[in-house]
Amino acid sequence: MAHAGTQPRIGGVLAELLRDGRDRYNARFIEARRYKSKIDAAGFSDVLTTTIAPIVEAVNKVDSSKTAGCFDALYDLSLELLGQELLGPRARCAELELGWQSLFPVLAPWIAAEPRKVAGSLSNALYNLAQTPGARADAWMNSLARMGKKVTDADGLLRAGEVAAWLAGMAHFRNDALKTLEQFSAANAELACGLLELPGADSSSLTRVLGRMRENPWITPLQARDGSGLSSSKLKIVKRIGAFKGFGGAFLAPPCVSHEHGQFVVGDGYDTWVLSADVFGATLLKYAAGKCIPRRHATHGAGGNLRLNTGSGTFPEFKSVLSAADDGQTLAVTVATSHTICLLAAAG
Amino acid sequence: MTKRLPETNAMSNTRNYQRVSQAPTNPRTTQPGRAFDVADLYRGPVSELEPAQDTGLPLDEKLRQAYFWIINHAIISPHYDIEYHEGPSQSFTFGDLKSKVTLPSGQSYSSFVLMPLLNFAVRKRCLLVGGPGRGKTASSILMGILGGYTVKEVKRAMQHGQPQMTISDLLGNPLPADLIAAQKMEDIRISWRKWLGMRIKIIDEYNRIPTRTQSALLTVMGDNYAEILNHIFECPEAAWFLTANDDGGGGTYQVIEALRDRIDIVVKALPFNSRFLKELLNRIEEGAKPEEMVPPQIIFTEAEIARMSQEVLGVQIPDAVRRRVEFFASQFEFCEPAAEQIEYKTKDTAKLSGLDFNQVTANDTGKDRLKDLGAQTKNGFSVRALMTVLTFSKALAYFRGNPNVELEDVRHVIPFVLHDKLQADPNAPFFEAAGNGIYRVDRVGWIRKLFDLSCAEFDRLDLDRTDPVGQLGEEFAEGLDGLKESEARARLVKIERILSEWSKGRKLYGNLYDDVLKLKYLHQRYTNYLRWLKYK
Repeated sequence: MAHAGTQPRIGGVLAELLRDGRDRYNARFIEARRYKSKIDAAGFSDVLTTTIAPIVEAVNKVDSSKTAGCFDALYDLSLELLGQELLGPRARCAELELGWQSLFPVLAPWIAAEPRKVAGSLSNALYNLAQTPGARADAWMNSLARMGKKVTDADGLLRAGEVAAWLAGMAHFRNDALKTLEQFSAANAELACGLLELPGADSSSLTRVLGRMRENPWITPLQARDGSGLSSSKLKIVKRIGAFKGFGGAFLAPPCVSHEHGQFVVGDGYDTWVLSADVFGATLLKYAAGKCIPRRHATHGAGGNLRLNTGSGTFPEFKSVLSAADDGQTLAVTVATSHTICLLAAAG
Repeated sequence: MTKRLPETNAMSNTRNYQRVSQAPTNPRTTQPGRAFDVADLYRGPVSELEPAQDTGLPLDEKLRQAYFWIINHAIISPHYDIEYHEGPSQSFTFGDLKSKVTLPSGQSYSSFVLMPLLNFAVRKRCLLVGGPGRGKTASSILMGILGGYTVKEVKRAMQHGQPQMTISDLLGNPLPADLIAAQKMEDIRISWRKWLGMRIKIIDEYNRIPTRTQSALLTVMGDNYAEILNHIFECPEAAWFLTANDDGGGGTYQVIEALRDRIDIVVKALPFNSRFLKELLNRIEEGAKPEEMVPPQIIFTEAEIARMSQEVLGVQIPDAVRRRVEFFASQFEFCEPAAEQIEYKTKDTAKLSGLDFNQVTANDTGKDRLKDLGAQTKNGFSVRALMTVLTFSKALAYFRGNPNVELEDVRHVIPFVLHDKLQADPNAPFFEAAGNGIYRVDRVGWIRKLFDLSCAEFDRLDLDRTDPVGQLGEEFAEGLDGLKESEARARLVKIERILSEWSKGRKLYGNLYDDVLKLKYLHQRYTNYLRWLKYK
């Protein structure tokens, strides 16, 4: 592979590995380029020096016996991603490249243990986070960087990543993430506390915290620990989600919402989504089939009076409701004049 | 046994050399009423997150994947000379010689890739012949890599035939210090060549090995051991790949017949098709080396190769197919004027006499020499050749994912097994007949034609339904325990009656010769039994 004159030279451990496996690595580069025209030598050199080299150095410090195998896996993986323009100068997913450069060196022990599985899974996660409106990839990376020292194996890291993804705004993972946290609280309470950013909690209090969080999606871990905001007589808007497609949102027309099969289903007459939401974030994901049938909520009053369980409130903007639905903890309301779904809860 | 998969030329996304033919994945859709799967977080642009491992894929499937990878990426062999048809297929003729082009309606294969691969599976000895630069050595190297060796290991272990090659070059040397100091032979240690212990053995240009060294090679090939100064190296079971530019046994040195006879299968390297020059150009420009890109998923471990060989042997040969192979094999050995004793009336006897073969067979009058398939050859074929036919037929059926051998499998395998074994008699009237002159040149076509003619004759004689020798054989196979004297005598009479009927004006062709000998054998067995009964 030719190096551009202005590119930094490859040195250190990486240079040695490339030298020892020169024929093999060149052959694999040629093969990858043959089927993916987006791969070019300069771009790949850039990836090697700026992205892969720091990971390899970090792995080498952790366990030099694993360096070669790790580099082998990262080499192929990076070619795959470069071919899809997810790494390199033309990377269209900044979060993924940032993850490789800043997160992977920190997680060197786990990447060394199972390079393809860990690096590949984390790459996919970064990509999915980047594609999910409202998800916070940077928060996810920070969380994982902190948790890297608390997990006991690569699988533990990935499971921690699932929880961190929920906490970073992927609300549709809530149920599974809570289950994982419950398992962590029994086996590795420090990890569970770390994920929830709960200093000093122990296993028994964690059980209580998770139980409360399971009952009420609108309380934070700290509120769950302290028992604050668990119930209120006041209904308030806890989140707004959605916008007109022309402004970067999802909806072509003001959406309607219903509650079916245990989920909020949203439709704008052209497409249908499943809405998931809690205190950590909200997501709209495409729904397989069916139309959303608008339903007037039984507890609507006139003049924008809304009620949910013990909470109630008057909202002038909801004087004329297009659709409303609730799941017992959250009331979702839409109006004909807006492309936004309002979520209300009886929160403290 | 898994079903045969359709050939898939499409490779998914990136890393296509590392990706073997797979079914496409289905896009995931959310279903109403179902919770989201958090594992979706880790599904995305990177697939195959687990490292490539042996996932217990059936070995026949792995062998097919290896074939398609080689065909699609490694060896440019756009030939489908192993044709299978499922239903009608179109054919076209060209030119004055009416050259026929058939478009097979079933999945078909290139012999140049398939046969070495089958040889790899059954661990026999394959000779690749053809002009220089046609991919014989490259194909052999690929087989070595499929066997789990690195490119470096394969290339360094490959034995290159050359006129100065000595036995020591081939097998190894005694340690010089031991030679001087040893008081007895047992004290001499031998530095054996590494290739002797490999499961894939490659001999490049074997017909350039001096005759003396060929004898040493013969011991390794034939008996699987090497010997130097009374020290023995037992070689492991291996698949052999030999190359030669000239399959006639010429070259720098004539190949000794015993060594040639050890070759199980001969495969011709087919010429390069110039319409694929672009592919060559790409390889030149990119410096692409397919042997460096073999996906780990199609590399076989030692245990897998051993298991695969066993599985191949487990493929069944139905009686109907076996009978046709028997009938075919019986056509060629018989030579009526060669001896007086029936058992000696063989081409082997004629050959051993040292007389000119045509002079001997000139006395063979009365038979239709055009119809007699045996008249086309100067020899029959050996037990070893027959066993190889059966083994490779099983291997081909195994490769195609079938639990039973089909007649087509045998038909495709036979020409490659008998290529060097069946010697054509170019003076035979068959070759003089209109349109048959081409078979003097095309040995593969000729052997296939022989088999087709044999099967046609088998059908004409309705031997599937009318096979008195077969019936008597089955009767005998039930055993003699408890067989009454009267029954044994009745069987003797039956045999004698058949022989009497046949002897009335019937010409003795090869297949009949084998049947006559079988009847004599059965007669003798019952006779001995009756004597034993009397004694008892």
